[in-house]
Amino acid sequence: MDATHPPEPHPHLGEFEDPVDGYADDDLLTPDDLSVSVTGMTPSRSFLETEEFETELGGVEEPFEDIFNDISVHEIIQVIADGDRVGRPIVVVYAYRLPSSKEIDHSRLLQYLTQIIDKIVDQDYTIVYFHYGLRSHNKPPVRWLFQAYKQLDRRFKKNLKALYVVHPTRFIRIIFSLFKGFISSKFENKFHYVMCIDELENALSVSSILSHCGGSIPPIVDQLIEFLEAHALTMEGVFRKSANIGSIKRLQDRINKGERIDFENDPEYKDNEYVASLHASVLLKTFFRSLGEPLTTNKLYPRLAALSEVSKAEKSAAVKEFVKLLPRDNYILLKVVIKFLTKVADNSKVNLMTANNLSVVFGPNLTWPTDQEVPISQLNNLNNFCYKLIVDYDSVFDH
Amino acid sequence: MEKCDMKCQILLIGDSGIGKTCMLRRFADDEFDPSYILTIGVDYKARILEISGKSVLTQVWDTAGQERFNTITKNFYHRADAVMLVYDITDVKSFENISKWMYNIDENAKDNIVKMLIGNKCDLKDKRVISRDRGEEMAREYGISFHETSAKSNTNIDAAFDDIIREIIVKKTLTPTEMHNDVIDPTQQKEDYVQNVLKLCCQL
Repeated sequence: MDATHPPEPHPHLGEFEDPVDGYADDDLLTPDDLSVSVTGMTPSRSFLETEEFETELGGVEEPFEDIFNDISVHEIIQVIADGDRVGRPIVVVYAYRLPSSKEIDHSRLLQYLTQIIDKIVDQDYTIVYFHYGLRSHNKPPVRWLFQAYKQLDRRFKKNLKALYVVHPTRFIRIIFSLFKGFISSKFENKFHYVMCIDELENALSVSSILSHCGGSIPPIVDQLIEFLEAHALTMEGVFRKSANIGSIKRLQDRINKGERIDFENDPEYKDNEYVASLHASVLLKTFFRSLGEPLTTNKLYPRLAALSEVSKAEKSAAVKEFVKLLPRDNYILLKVVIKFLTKVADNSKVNLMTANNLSVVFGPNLTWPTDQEVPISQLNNLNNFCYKLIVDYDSVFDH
Repeated sequence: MEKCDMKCQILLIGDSGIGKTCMLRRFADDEFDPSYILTIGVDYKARILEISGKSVLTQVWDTAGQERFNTITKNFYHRADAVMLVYDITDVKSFENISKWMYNIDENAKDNIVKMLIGNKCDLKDKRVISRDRGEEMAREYGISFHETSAKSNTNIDAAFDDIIREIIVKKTLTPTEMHNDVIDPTQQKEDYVQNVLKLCCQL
């Protein structure tokens, strides 16, 4: 093919000319796609330029009042209005929710997408695309992707801050390299692959991404607390004891890849409730510690630090006031965790973890800011804050 | 306070709940307090020891084993002359994590820092899961010395601190600058070094 073509304009497209390098079976390029991409190579510019997609689609001109019930019912696209840390909206696209290609009209899907993004396109926004679950039966044709890109290109690129592709496969990488020829380097810089969910945590507010399954509690926190409440309340030194670092890393990897750990029946934990409890407790601490910012947020840290000036008598009221300032999701998550810690403290005769001990462990895990240096002398204040949350739980979280 | 000939700083590190604070209290105050209290950040106690006619001000820094404090305690590594890596002989994880602590030291501490491996809680014979041999073997692998101690029964605590301070004195006396000054032949240098160490060891 090389020989018959003029000099290759996009070296990376070379990948397509030699598809013998063992694509895995589930790689989603079919011969059809290849023929599209091959015809869309050197002649590709003309391919896109000559064919009149605008008229073919007619999308932009069509009235947007169109009802998309048939599309929206699949909940493929979701907009989180105050999604990222600075309140910019996030458009989340879940590939696994795409129905079979036979059941969905892709041109209508594109119109629907356009309509959704159109509402927020005037301000900065982010797209997060979860690639998981895209199979050959629900994969939109490559040609459609070109159309989508072409149509969205004009109006939607400017304010797009970032496009995250979560758990990409080779298919998506190939598609992207295919697009590379057409897109500006500016856009390329906005494009990020996310291999592991925790990379995403660095970029976006975690709770907004993770809570898409409903509610404000990340599923992993829910699951860990449920397990610990049933099995670990009487474990001596729960949350104090360290676990094997390697085991926790492996566990994190499994969870970040979307696996659900069954702490009761997993081969590693069956017949070993102690290790299961230990790992679950360390994992819960690890979760809070590795959020991009503490649950009490970096922004509110000065307010938190100021609590050290408050007299003992007024401390509880001040802690209550502080908690009210938290973003809603953070507040709810904090409430759930502290409620659980009160139950741990209730068993301190057996587990030896009094509210004071728990606050030494959780204080820094919940509050230590990630964007500034903090003097160690602040530790007592932060621990004390956590201590108050536990012992005054009922009054602090009564609203 | 009386005048001291030298000062040395020793850092206690290891997983949470293995008895670092109890070791410190036994060493500094000769006390054992079984209450369950977690260390916040870092804490230290000092004691003056007489070792081979020298009075040595020994500062022992106790660190919190909680993972969250790692970034904080790391700041103390580079000041330390020596580190005691402590594990609990009844807790296999604390033993396995020694390699992680070792890595932390290599990343953050001075190159010539003195290291010692400590298997604590050796009074709990019935609950032992890490044999003395395994501890010795690991110490050999890292080329460092090893002690089994019990803060509760006051076994070997003083001996361990005594040994580590002697090692510090040897290292401090043989600072690299002194060695590089007039020795050119590397083999000669090595021999001199060995000679010096031997001499010092006899003195101590």
